[in-house]
Amino acid sequence: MVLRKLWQFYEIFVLTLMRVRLFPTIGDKMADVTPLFDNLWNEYIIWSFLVGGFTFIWLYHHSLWYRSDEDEEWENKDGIEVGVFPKEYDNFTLEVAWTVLPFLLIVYLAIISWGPLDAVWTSAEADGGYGDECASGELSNMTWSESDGRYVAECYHVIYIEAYQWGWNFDCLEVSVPDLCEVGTAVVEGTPAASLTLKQGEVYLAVMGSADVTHAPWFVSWGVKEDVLYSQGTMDLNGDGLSDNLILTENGEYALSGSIGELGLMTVWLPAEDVENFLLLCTEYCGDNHAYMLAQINVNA
Amino acid sequence: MGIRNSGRAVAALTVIVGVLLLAPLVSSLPTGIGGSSIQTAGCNCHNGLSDSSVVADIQGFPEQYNASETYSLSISFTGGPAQEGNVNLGGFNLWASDGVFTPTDGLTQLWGGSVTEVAHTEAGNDYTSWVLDWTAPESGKDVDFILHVNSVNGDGVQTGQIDQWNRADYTLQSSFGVIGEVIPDAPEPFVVLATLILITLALVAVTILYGFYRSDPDGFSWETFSPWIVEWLTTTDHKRIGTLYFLAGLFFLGIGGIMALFIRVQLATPGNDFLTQDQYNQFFTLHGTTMIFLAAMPLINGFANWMVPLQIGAPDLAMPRLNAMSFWLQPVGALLIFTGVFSGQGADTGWTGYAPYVVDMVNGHDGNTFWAAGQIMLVASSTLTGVNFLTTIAVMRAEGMGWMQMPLFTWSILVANLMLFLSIPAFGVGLIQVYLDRVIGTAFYDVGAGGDPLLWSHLFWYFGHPEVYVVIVPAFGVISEVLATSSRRSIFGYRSMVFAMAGIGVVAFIVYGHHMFTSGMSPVLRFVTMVTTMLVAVPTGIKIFNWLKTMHGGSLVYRTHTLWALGFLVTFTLGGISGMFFPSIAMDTHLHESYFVVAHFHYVLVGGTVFGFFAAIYYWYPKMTGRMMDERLGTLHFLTAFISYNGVFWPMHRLGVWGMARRHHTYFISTDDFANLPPEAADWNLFISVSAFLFFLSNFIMVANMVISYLRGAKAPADPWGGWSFEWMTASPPPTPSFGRYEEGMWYDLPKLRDANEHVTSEPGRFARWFNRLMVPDDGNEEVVH
Repeated sequence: MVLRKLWQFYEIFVLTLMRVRLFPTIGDKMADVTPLFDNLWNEYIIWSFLVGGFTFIWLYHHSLWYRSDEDEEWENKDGIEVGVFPKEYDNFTLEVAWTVLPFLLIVYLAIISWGPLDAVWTSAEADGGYGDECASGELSNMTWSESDGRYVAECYHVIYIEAYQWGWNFDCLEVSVPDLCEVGTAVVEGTPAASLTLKQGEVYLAVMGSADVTHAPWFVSWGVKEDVLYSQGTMDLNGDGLSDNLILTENGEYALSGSIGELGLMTVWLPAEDVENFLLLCTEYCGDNHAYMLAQINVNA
Repeated sequence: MGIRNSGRAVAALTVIVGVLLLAPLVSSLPTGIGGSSIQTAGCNCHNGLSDSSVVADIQGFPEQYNASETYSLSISFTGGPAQEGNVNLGGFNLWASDGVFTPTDGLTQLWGGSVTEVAHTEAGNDYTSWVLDWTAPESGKDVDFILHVNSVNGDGVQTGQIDQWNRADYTLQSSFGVIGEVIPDAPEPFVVLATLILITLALVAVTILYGFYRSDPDGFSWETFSPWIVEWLTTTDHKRIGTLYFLAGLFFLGIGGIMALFIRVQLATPGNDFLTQDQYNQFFTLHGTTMIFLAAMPLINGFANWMVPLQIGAPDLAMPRLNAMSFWLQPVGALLIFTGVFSGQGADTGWTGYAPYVVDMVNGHDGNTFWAAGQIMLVASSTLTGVNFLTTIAVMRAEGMGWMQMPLFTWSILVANLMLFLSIPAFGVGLIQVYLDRVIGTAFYDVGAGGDPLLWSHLFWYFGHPEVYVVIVPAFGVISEVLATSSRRSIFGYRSMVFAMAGIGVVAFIVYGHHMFTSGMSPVLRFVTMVTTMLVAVPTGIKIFNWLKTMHGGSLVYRTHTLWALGFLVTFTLGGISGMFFPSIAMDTHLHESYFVVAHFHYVLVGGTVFGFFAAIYYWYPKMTGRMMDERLGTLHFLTAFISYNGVFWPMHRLGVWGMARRHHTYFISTDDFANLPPEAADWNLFISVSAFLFFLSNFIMVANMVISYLRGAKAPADPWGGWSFEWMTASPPPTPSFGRYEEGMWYDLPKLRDANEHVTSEPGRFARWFNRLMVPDDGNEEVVH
């Protein structure tokens, strides 16, 4: 009970300190992909203050308490003498304590950091909790699951993103309903850029490749980024003017030319939670116009 | 070494440096390597020389231009390779000294990140004419145009000798003469950088000359100066080589700082055009490379050269000539790295040099080749240094000094060199691959030929992460020495300090994967790497707590080096805490490549390494020069630098969380159309830039202190701070050789270490015996029983 009270007091103390906007704060929005990210951030901030506060109070106390003047008398406790290895000054119990306690904290932090991973990445083996790919016109119906602590959905839509020096190509693949996915252009800072419009409440699996060097799309508002690598699949070896990752289907839409694993493409989950427009940046340095390799992501109701 | 021999050595060294610098040019085309840009070097991607059979033309120029008016220009060419069936299609590059080009269709594009240079796009590569707009400048000065066109032979092979190209030059006058408002050209940033480098070099030369003059004003003449400077340039004495390393490190710390200021001016406001994107990319590449390889490493080697032999009671390093060679490889490497910059085509890959961009011969700069060549020199230098220090520490410790009686700074150099020795070969291999890919067309990183860009990431980070510890661990050694001496106590937990450093050295090799969390790593490896990365906090925490406990019960004397050590504890702890956010993979997906990363590693590398070495400067300067530094100036330096430093890097945490990406030429404030950074981000960036100037300038207080103290400082006693290790036993400055005398092939009167501990040191443990056998197969008496 006492410990819980102390912990509550500490949380209030840290929250009050965090009102000063200079510090990274509890409640700083880390990502929309899952509130688990925000919880993780908050927990890390609290522990940072605890560890930092402990260390700095100790530092300030000792550096002031044991201060002495140059000419002040002092006791040579450790036999300091030039050319003589001084008496060893140690305490086995203390040294074990500050080896074991940080280790336990690390185990705890590793466990809480483990949780949200599936919310970001998928693989050919894992569906990420979003079921199977949606049929044509089917909706994801994304909801928040208290028991899982994350979003779940009935199905997901697959879209394709290709990076090139210095822009983005989007393709809705077989997501043919315009409300669900639409590709267009926007003017960002006076420069034409690609735009991708998605629907709120839907889950998308972005399958990504690069047409030249390594890039990394950063969905800033969602707090997600992933490298996209130049690979055999993103070349146009068959000369049809398209990345070999894509083929033209009979109904005039593009589709992946093989499975994600076979093509070696990178993937990332994009649960479109809020209605918003934000920038897509490239965060893997890729040459001259790297900073202006922009796109606009729109999430409509 | 006699004067004549020394002179020959200098001449030979000069020739070697010249050859190494010129070597990469041998394989270049007759018109050079591309020069500062295509308008000066020609279109040598198609052929070495221009050909008059190709005629370039621009239509649409007025007789005189009006201010700010837009003109539609039509570019075309005729002629070219005349073999049968050839249609003579090609491309162009047009450069103007002023005004703004605007592409009007998909066939043309702005080039090189500049609005005054335009070229064809990939889609516009097979044409003979192109159309674009040019908007005249507001001023009335003449505008020069340089047009290059190439006409290809149609066989699809760009490097064929029968492709042809030519150039046409135009000058356009304004309708309102040059009397109107003439806006002077902004100074070229690279010219400013070069000027500042030359001024700094001149100041260093004048300072050295003045220092020599002041040492003996009456005896100053070329006859006395010449042998003195030759002796310095050909020295194999560890103390002099240490000084050379130290001066080189400080010099490049300043150069890297100047480049950081350029970066900060560019980012002071959103949308700034102080630097072009192209220049900005080169500046941050060279800033990182310079600070890590040309500033931090030489500073470490400077102190290691000076102090390790002194601390272990050795007369010099085990291989003095190898030591000199290690040093002289560094300026050669630096010259190679910077040569690319002064051609206007400096390396533009970031210090990480990620593939495949680093081998991109179209968009990547020619300077990337020089960058790789220079880095190979530095790898060679570091490897030789590693061999030398490992050998020295293993075989030349004084009698009585077992492994567990070495001063902690020497331990830190041992651990750092072991890490470097085991990791840097991987970097060397990667660099050689890059160099070969760029120079002779191998395909290590060419995906089309089966190469793998991720190989570079692995090779680089296998080296790169331990490298971060290589530059921080010696600072740990310094802080251990400084805090213990200032507290007038023995370091708390000497053994656990040694094991913690060794632990960091081991863990360093199994954590590098956290740099590649977003590179498609398998989920299992992500988790494993997360845990191993977090584990680094355990030995690091031990060290911090041990430093704090060292003060317990002591008599802490506040001197300048004490202030820097305490400052180190604050900033390094903050850097360590922020470092814990990255292994947590979910947060890393947001924070990776953001300004949160920039804040973190500057808290570790500046707040850790640089602050550690500032402490070392104030701590060992009296030993190195025989003069005490001014404590008031030192305190002023600490206060101004510590405050302004935090002003630079602390707000970057928040910028990173908000979503400001690193290595970006600008940043975007949210508008009604899209969300990105809040408006306060611009204010914080301006604050950071102002703080950066203050931080840079504050360090001149230390430089002034060093110069003034060298000339007028009080004479330093042998042991001004009350330290116990051997460097405080010898005079300030120490004689040469540092200890003992050498007669008839034997050393005499070398120091012996005594031990204040009453316990009897046990026989060396199994690991120590194994390590001894590994390093010194014939010496079974290294560990001494008391």
